[in-house]
Amino acid sequence: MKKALSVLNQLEKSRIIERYAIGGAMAATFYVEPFTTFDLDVFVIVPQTPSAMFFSLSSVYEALHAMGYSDEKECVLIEGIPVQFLPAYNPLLEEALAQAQDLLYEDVPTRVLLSEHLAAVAVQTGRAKDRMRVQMFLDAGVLDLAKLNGILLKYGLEEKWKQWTGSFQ
Amino acid sequence: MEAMDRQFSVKEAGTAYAKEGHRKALRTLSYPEKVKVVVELQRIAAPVLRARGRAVKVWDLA
Repeated sequence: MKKALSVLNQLEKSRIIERYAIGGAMAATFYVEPFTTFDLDVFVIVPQTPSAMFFSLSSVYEALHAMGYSDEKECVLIEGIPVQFLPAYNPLLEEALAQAQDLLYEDVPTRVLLSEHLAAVAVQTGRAKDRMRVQMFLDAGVLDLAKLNGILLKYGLEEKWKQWTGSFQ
Repeated sequence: MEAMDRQFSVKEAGTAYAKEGHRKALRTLSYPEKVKVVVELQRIAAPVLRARGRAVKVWDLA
């Protein structure tokens, strides 16, 4: 993990990616008790040409392949860890990435998305496992509800949140 | 019968309390320690998932 994070930092330093942060289950694990997952989801902002019509991660994959790392299904296997790169493809994810929390993993700097952004992204994504993740956050009391409400309102997710949390009771 | 019910209920509550205590303890681990627990969980889950035809890789933290 430490080595994989160092590689991500190297990609950022060499401007292959503008910014990255851990998302998904491994970001959730930072806030709640550990649970089973097999991928390290990493949200990235990649420098794009002004004329680009869609988000392309090809420069990231090319750089990693040149470093000797190979693809494993939808991931790249970096130092023993399958890393899935996900572009920040909407304003909520862009904000989440911009405000991600800096931390040290042992002595390696990295970032994780804030729990409130993870919850909002979970509501937006809306899969069964996202719903379970929101429940875990609520059970663990790791959400700043005022901050979360602001995010939900900003991105039009408050109704879905009410439906979800209503059904938890 | 009533006493048995009460005893069972207390036992259940104790188990739930212990489980919740365990979950709380896990929440307070450092991130690297949590990652080690995730890998242990992967080791437990991988054979079951592979038997179901899902290809999974247990992380190598070395």
